[in-house]
Formats: sequence, C-alpha cells, structure tokens
Amino acid sequence: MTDLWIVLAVGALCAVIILAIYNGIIARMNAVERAWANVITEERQKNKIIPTLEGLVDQYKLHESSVLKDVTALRSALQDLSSDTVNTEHLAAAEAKTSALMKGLNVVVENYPDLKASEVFNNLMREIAEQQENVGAAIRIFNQNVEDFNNGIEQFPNSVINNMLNKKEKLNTFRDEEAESGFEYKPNFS
Amino acid sequence: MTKFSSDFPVSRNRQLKALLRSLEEDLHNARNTEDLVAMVEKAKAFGTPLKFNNRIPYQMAAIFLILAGAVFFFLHSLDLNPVWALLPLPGAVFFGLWGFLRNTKSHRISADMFKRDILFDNQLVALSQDLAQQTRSLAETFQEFRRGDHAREIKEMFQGNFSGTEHSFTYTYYHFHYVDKRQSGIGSKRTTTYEHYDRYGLLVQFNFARNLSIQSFQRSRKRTSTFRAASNYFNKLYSVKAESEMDAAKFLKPKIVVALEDIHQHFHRPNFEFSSSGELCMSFQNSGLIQIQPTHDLNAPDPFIEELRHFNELTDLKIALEHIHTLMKYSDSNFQTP
Repeated sequence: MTDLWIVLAVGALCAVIILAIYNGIIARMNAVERAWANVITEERQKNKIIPTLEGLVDQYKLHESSVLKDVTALRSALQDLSSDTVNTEHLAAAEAKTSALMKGLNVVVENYPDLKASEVFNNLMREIAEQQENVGAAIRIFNQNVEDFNNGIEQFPNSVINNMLNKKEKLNTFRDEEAESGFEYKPNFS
Repeated sequence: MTKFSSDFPVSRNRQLKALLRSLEEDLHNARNTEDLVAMVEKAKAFGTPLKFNNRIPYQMAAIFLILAGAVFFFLHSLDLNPVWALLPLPGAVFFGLWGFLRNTKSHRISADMFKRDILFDNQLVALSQDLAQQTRSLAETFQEFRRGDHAREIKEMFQGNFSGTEHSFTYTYYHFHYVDKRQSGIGSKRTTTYEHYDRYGLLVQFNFARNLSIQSFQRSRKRTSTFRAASNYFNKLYSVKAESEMDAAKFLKPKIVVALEDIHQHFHRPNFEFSSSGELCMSFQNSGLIQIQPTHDLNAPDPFIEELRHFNELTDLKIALEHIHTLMKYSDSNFQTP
C-alpha cells in the first residue's frame, strides 16, 4: 500500500513539474509576443510626429527637398508593421526609413537657419530622438524576452517537454544589419 | 617635519590640545575649501606629526600592570584568592586608552575636514532642522519611512542641486536608520533581539508621475504587483504598484524600464516611490554615496592640501541623480503633438 502511495506521489510530482514547464514555455512565448507588440507600439508613435513634420515642411517651404518623400516612405513603412506577427524585416525597414528621414532633415536644416532655431523644430528633434531611444529600449526588452524564451525551450528538461508537448521553435532576436555590416567579425553561432 | 622634544611633553601636549580644539572650532566655521586649507596650514605651522607625548599615561598604565602582577604573585604565594589582582587593571586600561584615543583625534578631525570638503565640492548643505519631525512627516508620505516597528530616525540629510541637459532640480540626500524588534522562544526562555538596518536615498520633486511605487525591496516578503511590464527581467527585479494600470503603463516606457533594469545593477535593493503630491523617493541600501576615503591627513599637510583642493566628485551620487534625470526626461512631454 505504501509503495502505491509512493508511486502516486512521484507521479503527481512529475505531473506538476511537467505542467509548470509547459505553462512556463507558454508564458515566455506570451511575454515575447507582448514585447514585440510593445516594439511596434513604440515604432508607431512616430505617426504622431508626422503631422508636425508636414506642418514644418509647409511653413518653411521645404517642398524641393527630400523630406516630404522620406515622410511618405516612413508612413508607408509604419503601415506595414504588425503587432500580431513577429516580423523583424518590416521593423528594420521602418527603422531604415526613420534614419533616412533624420539624415535628410539634418542636411536640409543647414540651409534654413530660421527652421534650425525654431522651438517646434528643436522639440520635434528631441521627440524623435526620444522615440528612437524608446524603440531601441523596446527592442532590447524584446531580445531579452526572446533569450529567456529560447533558454526556456532549449535547456533540459524543458527541451524534452517542448519536443513532446509545446513544439515551439527557437526565435530569432532582432539584429541591426546596418550596424552589423560595419564589423568584419561575424559570430559563428550554430 | 618638525620633531618635538620629549623633554617638554606637558607643555607640548597642552599646546597640541589647544590646537586641536581650535581646529574643531575652525572646522565648525569653515565656509569653503580655502578655510580648510588654512586649517592645514595652521597644523603645519604647529609642527607635525600631531601626536601627544604619551610617556606619562603609558608609564601609568605600566605601573598599574606591574602592580596587578605583583599583587597576583603576592596573593598566590600566600595561597589566597588572586582575584584581587584584577583591581589595578581598570587603571591600566584607562591610561592606555586615554593615551591611544587622544592620538586618534587628529585623524578624526582630518576625516571630518575631508567630508566637509566633499560637501563644498559637490555643493551640498547639511540640513540640521528637526530630523525627528522630518522622519514623522516623511513616514506620512512614503512607505519607505514606515520601516522599523521599534524605532526609526533620519540620521543625516544634505541638500544639493542638479543640472541636467533638460531638467534641473533640488534634491535631498538622507540616511535613514530603523530598528525591528524580534521576539523568539516561549515563556521564560523568550528572548528579544533588536535588528538595526540602514537605508539611504534621495528626495526630489517629480511632476511626471504620481501614486506609483516600483520596489525591489518590500517590507513584506510576499511580492505583490498591480502591473507587469513587458520585460521578464524587469518583472523579476521589481514589483509595481499603481493606483491605475494606465498610469503605470504610461510611465513605464521602454527606456524607463531599461533604465530601471540598469540601475538595479548599480544600487542594492532600489525602490522608487512617487507620492500623490508629486515627490519621488529613490531609496537603496548603498551607504557610500557621500563618502570618499581620504589618502592623507593633517599629519601630511602638503599632500592633504592637494587632496582638499582637488575636486572630489561623488560618482555614485551622480549616477543616482542622472538616473532620476533620465526618468524625468522620458516621462515629460516635449510638446503636445496634434
């Protein structure tokens, strides 16, 4: 009788451990999805500054410059973003468009001293810089959560439970290819 | 260095005592680094090292010790209880300690001078108002000051100003001490112990968040949160309590979450409490925010003067203030976007 109780207790303990690991993997996956949604939310914050930017283009007659074209390209890239599916390529594209816009603005503003001195422009640049930093921070959080998730499915005994029940695959972290292209060194991750 | 003659110990000791007393008065009245330098010059003119001739107290201590030994052997030879031999020992201890302690006074004054210099360098002013009343008043505003079921007090407070790229603010640095009373055992074997703790922190007017606490060190062991951030790592480090989830979500932008993760690497058990009246209390366990160990003292006047004239920056304090500035920078509004 005692043996039966021991077998039952061990069985129950195993079931609890399996359940905890199974739920842990799901919780980690949900955290990755939430972190991704956060990245997209931060990236889409740029939509808020576009009207101010267009107002400045009108006010200072920047029509001949590339700014308006860059604004349109950024708006289009922001529309491609989806918080439902993790698509780092679309995010990279939106980031590239933001960089192009910033570069264009910095070139144009040199020819418009009034614009450079205006409070709205300076506030706008500060806002864009902070938005970029928030996007960067959201990406860092996303990558941390991805690492946490990948550890959660690859480490033993989680890997066994994942292969049998969850069947989740390892996720890719967000990588800045433009920044990476500046390095000769390429890590040989397997 | 001037060597003083041990032939006139009493006269020299009296002069040294007067000098140390005068230095203490000077320190009390010092208003800037140059006042402190003048103190060192005064000590240099007197002659270093600033040591008392302890021949007499040490001789007295030796006499008491010899007396104790003699009494012990005398009583022992008569087969009497040698416990009476202990009687002269307090005399030996008294003279020994007296000699030793008075020679540490110049070190204590040097340490106080250096601390004062740090305050001058970092434009900090010691607040000497009613600290007991301050403790009570802060306990009404912040949970942080409700720690300690037996006693609690603010030991010291300093006020300074910080100018950042976007915000400037006045801050108050404090050292909070509290005591928990613990009882264990039952009946006659019941014992009471008093556990002493120290927390340190900064108080700042913060207008961009209210009724919010972000804590890594809670009063109760059970961690409760009303809001979870998107970062798993942040959620492991902190628990967040807010009056509304929306307020917490608005404040905890990614850059702020990441900044709070990073500050946890630097400060031990940091807590952030935003009061309903727009004040921030950032608290932690690190004790050395306004401390730098001096390398020299009054006994090495020239290097000590150099050390005093050098700008002694409080790096940990700067890190904490810059962190608060980061919280402000990313929670304020640059402008109202349409």
